[in-house]
Amino acid sequence: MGQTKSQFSEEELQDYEDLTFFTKKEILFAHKKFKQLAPEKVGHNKNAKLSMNKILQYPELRVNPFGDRICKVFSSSNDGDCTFEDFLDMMSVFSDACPKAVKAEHAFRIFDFDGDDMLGINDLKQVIERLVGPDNCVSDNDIKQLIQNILAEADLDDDGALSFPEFEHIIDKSSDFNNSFRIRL
Amino acid sequence: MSHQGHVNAVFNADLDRIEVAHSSTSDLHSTGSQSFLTDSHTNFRFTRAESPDGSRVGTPSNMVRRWSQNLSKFGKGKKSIREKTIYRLPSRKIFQVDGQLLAQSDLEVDDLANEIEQHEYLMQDSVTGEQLRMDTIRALPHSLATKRQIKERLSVSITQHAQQETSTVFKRTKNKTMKAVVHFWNNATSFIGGLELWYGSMKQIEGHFGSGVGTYFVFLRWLFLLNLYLLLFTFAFITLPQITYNAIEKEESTLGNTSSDRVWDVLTGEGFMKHSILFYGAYANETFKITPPKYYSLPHAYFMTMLCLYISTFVIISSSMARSYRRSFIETSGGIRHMYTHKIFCAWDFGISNSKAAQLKHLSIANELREILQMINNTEIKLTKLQRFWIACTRTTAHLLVFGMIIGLGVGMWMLLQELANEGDTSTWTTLYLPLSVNITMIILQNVFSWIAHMEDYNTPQRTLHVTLFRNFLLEAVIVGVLVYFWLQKAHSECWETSIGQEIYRLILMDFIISILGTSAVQACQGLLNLKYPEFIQVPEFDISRKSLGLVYNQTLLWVGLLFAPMIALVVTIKMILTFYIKKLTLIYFCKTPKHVWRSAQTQTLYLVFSFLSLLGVIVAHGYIMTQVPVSKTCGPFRNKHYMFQIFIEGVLALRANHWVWRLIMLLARPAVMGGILLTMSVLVYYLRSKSKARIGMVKLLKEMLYMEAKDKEFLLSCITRITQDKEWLFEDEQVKDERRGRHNYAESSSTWKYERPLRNGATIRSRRI
Repeated sequence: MGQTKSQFSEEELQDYEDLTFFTKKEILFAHKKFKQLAPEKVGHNKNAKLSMNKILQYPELRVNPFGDRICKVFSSSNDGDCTFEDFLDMMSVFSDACPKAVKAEHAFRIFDFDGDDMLGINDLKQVIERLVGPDNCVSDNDIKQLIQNILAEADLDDDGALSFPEFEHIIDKSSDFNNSFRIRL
Repeated sequence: MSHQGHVNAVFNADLDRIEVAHSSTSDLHSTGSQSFLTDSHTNFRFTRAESPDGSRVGTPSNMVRRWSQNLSKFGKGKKSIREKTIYRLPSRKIFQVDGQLLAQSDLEVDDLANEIEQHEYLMQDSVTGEQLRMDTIRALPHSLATKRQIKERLSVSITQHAQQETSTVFKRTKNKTMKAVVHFWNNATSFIGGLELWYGSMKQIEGHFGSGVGTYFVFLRWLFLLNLYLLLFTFAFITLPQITYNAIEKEESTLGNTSSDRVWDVLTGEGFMKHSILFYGAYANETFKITPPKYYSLPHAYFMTMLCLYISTFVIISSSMARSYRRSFIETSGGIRHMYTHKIFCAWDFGISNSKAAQLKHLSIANELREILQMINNTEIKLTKLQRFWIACTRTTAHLLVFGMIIGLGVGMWMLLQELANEGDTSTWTTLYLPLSVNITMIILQNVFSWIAHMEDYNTPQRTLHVTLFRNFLLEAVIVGVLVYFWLQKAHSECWETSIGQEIYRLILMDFIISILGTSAVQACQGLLNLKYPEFIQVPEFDISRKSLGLVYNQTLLWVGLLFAPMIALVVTIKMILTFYIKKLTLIYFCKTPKHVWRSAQTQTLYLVFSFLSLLGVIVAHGYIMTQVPVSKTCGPFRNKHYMFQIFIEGVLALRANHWVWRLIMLLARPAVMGGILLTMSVLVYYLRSKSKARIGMVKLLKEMLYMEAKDKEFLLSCITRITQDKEWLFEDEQVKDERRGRHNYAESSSTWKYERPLRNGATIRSRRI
């Protein structure tokens, strides 16, 4: 870890510690992980921007059906490419210490494919399709039925889509969300 | 969607995503699109909870004021309306400080910083102020760059602020020392926090098998740490003094003859083990001189350490149980109401890092969704009376059968114990009969129970799991209960405390050999055979529930035995380390993830409840032993007393018979006082219960209100649609018609806001009703 340490000054680390849910040690560990994705590039420039494909090499993101969405949500340039700061942000949100409300906020943006700030029928459909995976097909009719049930249950103002408060309400009532929306560094 | 299409025509092509709704409850003080905007956002969060000090902060009028202020700021900017509005949408741009809503976009660092600056307590140039400020900034749902900008801006304004203020030397030094202390504290906690036990293993397990399997290991680790705590204290205050005493007095313990004997002795706890410091009997009834005026009394240390350990463990277990219960049952209302949404939004386990595990996860989610769909379709088909009768019959039979088996086991064990006691033979094998038979029958019965639960055919796997868990727990409780009761019947033989300790030791050891080594070996064989003959033998599943319950059983044995064998904590700690690695290896190489999606949080709570119940039982039993069962006269630290607790009474409390502590205890022990306390508690419970009932009613009302709001929205949208379609005010005609019917009477004309009024009245009527 000595090598990584030399890439950050004490102030930078303090800054990161103030702004994320990590300790200094964990930040250095995160940087080590980030460096593993592209050793030369990050070795030159500790805050190098890696393409989305590179970021998706990270084991948890590689197998995650929402990997590309996660990259896009956290990317500061909004195209999925991530700098170390974006990566750190991502890991901080997925850490244990992050409060549920912040997690819910990001989860909402991950599931909101078309970016209209509502989880509409199309968003829900995509979420279900990605969850089920490409190998196991669930018929369109079934998905429709599922979405109907979801909306009947959670769409409090009956407008055919889930807004953020409705989504947050659901997440707030879920005891398993914190367990599932978590990536160990 | 078609409504919204028309909305565009009225306002602006940019306004395509605005919610034009929710505009009924608040004062609309200006006209045009802006007031629409104002409202659409303010109402979104009206279900928000109360602020920490209990006052309702986000009242609608407050919010409107805030929003109108913000909007007036907007008017000066040159951004398009879309930009202005899209960032106003609730999902992204709202966060809360102290229950108040704030909003901003990525481009509005200034706004956000301004908002934070308005809060006095966040802007203090003190350590706590900085802590709070950092916590607030950290919890913003924004990118790191934005947060950094905000932090910089705030630090600038704080230094400005601080310069203006004249501060005394005292204040500055106080601040500095506080900062140093906090800095040190942060460093220390980050160092300790970095030392998470078995971190790499946990990550590997969760990455390969998901967080469901992870919960078993988390529970194991938690119990391990708890036992480490027990070990630390028993060793420091009981065993270490005894060891030093033995070393000084040169007391040789009687050793076994040959080395082969020793192996058996370790296994059975007989022979040289019987007189080792593992068990109660080896502890001396002595007071050691440390330096002449200071003494160390082993009996007192023994009693007080045990008392403190049992009480503190009880506190730890009950508080973590309460926390877990609150988190997974109360705060989430049991998680029943949002079944479908939870199954979608909490389905993926983001910790999975292995492609095989990911495929399995996809498959299990797909299966679960299919099951739900089937359930939806099935509930529509009503069961006939005969079918329902049949189900009720099978379930009652199953329950009776299980209870019969458990009772039968209890009676059988009792007879076996009698038989063994009558023989009076303490040779190697007979001592192992009992633990062996207990363990084997337990495994067999557990299998039988899961088979019975499978036959009962419950609606949900969750239900099946809970029923089986409960039965298994009952089985274990009966076994331990019968054992303890039997030993207490025989509690007048010579040095009976050590014999109980030995029995417990044997049970724990056999549990390790059979339930952990044995089952792991069987699973390993199964896994290997599966590689050769995949068509005949299936890969074993990692049964999280039964294994976790095994941990609870193990822990119960430890708690029973601790009083009679202080060093049994060491045995259990070592056992748990071994268990962790053995289970991890069998899991990674030979097992597969359970098929069903594992709802961890609630089942986790159930284990804590079981642990709590076991500990409660053990404490009651020990309380009885300490006060009612005479101690043996020939061994142990209490050998010259009648009962264990006398040491406490005579030694500590009776130092001064008239001491106020003693009198207070006597006072509290009076029936009248106890009755009074109980009565107060009952009243308190009644009060809280009725309060929670009232809250539930309130929630229902609010939901109804929300639904009415939705209706209002629909109505407004349809009105706007009508207007935009016709491009003219057809309103007059309708008004006339309405007036003829006597429905409404509008004083003015020619404004959209006429629609507003009846709605507002409607809203006020509703709110009055509430």
